[in-house]
Amino acid sequence: MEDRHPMWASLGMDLETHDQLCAVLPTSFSDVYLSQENRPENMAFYDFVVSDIHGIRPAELIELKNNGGKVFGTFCVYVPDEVVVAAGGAVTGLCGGSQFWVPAGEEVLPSAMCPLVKASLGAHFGHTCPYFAVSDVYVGETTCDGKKKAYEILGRDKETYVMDMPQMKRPQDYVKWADEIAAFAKEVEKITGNEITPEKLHDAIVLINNKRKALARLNATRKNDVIPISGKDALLVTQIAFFDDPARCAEMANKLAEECEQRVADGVSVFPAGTKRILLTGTPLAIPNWKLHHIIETSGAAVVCEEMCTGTRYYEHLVDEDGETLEDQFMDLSERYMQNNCACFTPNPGRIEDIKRLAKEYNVDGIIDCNLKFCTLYDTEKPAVAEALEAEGFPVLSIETDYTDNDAEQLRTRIEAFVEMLGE
Amino acid sequence: VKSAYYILVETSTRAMEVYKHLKARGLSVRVAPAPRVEHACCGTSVLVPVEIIDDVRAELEHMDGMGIERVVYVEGAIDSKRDRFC
Repeated sequence: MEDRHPMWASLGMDLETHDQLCAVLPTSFSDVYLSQENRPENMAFYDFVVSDIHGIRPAELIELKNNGGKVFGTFCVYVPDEVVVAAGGAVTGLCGGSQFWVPAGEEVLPSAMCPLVKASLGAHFGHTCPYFAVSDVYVGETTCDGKKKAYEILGRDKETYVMDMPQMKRPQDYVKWADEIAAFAKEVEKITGNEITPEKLHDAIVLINNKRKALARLNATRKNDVIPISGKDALLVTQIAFFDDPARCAEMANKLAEECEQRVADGVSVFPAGTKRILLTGTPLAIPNWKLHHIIETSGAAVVCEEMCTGTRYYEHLVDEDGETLEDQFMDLSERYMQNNCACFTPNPGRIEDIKRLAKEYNVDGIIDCNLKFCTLYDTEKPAVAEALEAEGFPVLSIETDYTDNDAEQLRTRIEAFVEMLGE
Repeated sequence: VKSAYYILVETSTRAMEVYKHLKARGLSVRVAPAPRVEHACCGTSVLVPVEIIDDVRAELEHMDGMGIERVVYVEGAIDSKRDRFC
């Protein structure tokens, strides 16, 4: 087997601790993913990426750096990849979906904080994630109080640029976000040493739009009665999209979408006819957080849509490609990104409208609204989500969890009961 | 709960080549993270269901030069109700 240790050592990683993570990934992935039958053939690419997730892509990013490029590590779907790509930089998502990183995060953060934030800081300070290690700069955003404070702590150890996200959606907030994007572009130019021109930004907008189109095309196949791909597999594709080269991401997602479209035409489903269809909404599921999808899909139901940052919010809506000046393009970017309905906004009726629309588009039988522990924003929206969706005739199960294994059996019991109720 | 064989290969890229070679011969193998039998390092392997290991071994006889290191057996490799997450 190829030894990645020299590469990880060159990034300053804690090899001994990182080996412990490498030791648990194969079993978890095999249990969750390889226990499935009749998966699309093109999922082999994604299995390949996960198998060497801390090797293949980090090696590409190191090569980019060796050629003078810069790597921007990001935490959130509001940070516009287009700006970094226009300056010749690379964007990578940052790890934060494993309990493995939480204890190291709790050394610098209160334990009463969401596991996503704790895991992110744990991955950085524990030196156990190559994506953190290879990043030249982190780009944060003010989407929750926990992250805001976490970025202060991260910033003491590595350059961290924070974008000030509007909290409302008035006309002036769209202008404010465009201004924030313009300021970010200046910073990106400074870090990369490359000028962002309207032509370069146009090409980057087209590139990232193509990625969104490919992911949207794939996920549209899940609207059919015949479900050609499991929720777990669709989630994995989205999770990997945060890390992958955007052109390759679009190419591979289009290949998979084409296969899934053919499966629909041929009536090939990964679930028995009549399997209950679930829309999952709530906090993001960063890789390798596959827990909830796995429990749902081993409890007699299928996840057919994710209304979350690792779902529709990542690939819905395109940036207008007709802007001719940077000023126009920054506004076009603002208008696209501000269509995302994160619970950080007040008021946030758009999220409920999105869930209602998606529930109908994907013909779901029920909705599971889940937040990570200590995410008060999403937790607080739960009653409003449940009231609005139940008024539309969609049963809603509200749950809260974290990355630990402890509540798996309890979750399975609750979800099995919910799925059984949907059949009545 | 299923047990399985894993073909360990020199590199992840070569593991994909082995996978494609076996798939092209109609063998239902899958791409999988290499099990941590001896080597604590992320990497790609080719998972072989127990039922077809003899057919795969016969094919491997003709696959010199593809970077294949060895085949290992893992008892209870896949358990969808183990509920042990990363």
